[in-house]
Amino acid sequence: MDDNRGNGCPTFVIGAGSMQLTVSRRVRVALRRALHESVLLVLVVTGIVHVVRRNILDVALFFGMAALILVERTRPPRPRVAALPWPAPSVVLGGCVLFGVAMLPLAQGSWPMRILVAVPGLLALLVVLRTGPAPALSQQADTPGRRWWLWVLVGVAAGLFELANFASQGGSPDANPDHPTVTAVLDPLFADNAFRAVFAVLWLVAGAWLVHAATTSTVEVDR
Amino acid sequence: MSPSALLTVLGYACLVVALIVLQGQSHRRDSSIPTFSVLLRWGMRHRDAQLALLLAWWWLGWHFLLNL
Repeated sequence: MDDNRGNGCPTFVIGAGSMQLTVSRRVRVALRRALHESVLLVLVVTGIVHVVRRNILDVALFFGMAALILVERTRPPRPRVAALPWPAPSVVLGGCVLFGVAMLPLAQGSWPMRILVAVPGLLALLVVLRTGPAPALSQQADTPGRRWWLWVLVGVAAGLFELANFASQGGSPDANPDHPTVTAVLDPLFADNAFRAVFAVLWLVAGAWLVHAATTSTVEVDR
Repeated sequence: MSPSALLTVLGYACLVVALIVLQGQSHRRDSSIPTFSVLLRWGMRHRDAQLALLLAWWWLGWHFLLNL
């Protein structure tokens, strides 16, 4: 067994000579497929969590996105539309800072703030849907680095930890202060207008980056 | 804050530190760990991941900024 070949997945060699069968590729493909399929599973599980939270909007969002993904899967392959011209990074950053400044005087949860937060999400969704999926995947670029799974490991650990803390609340957001959720820990910070404004700037920068990456992603990987 | 609550917050802090360490390690020369941005770009070659990440991003803003 050689655990340094391929993309960090264990390699089992069966047989000899031309009959050698490496299982590493199968493990890689199976792991990738499982990750791919897990997207829908995560959306559905999160949707169920929001059912427990009794948040109708979040339930609709997560189940709606799962449905949208299923619809996208059934659509026949189509050529990707050219990405919209992207403004210079300084312009994007300036826009994000303006967004944060506009957020500064608004009361948390107010209707102007709701509109201000909803608009970038809708625009981002429209842009990504318009552009279409990335080109067909290349076999050579099937993983970005041998130890990519470390990120997945930490992500899954974080998800399970949050889920366990959420489950201990018994459906009410702050029922168990001994095991606070991320929301319960961070809420006092978000009560502050300045903190919210700074977060809003970073949030919008992240969104802009995501849209840019989604609309320009190709089979090539950066490294 | 009760000892249990403190332990829970420490758990979150450990996860954040783990992410920072991973990102730091990924920037080292000849690192086999991809940077977070490379990982995201890789994931976003899949349509499912594009849409799910977009939702996750937007929901984080909606949830924390509006406290809904």
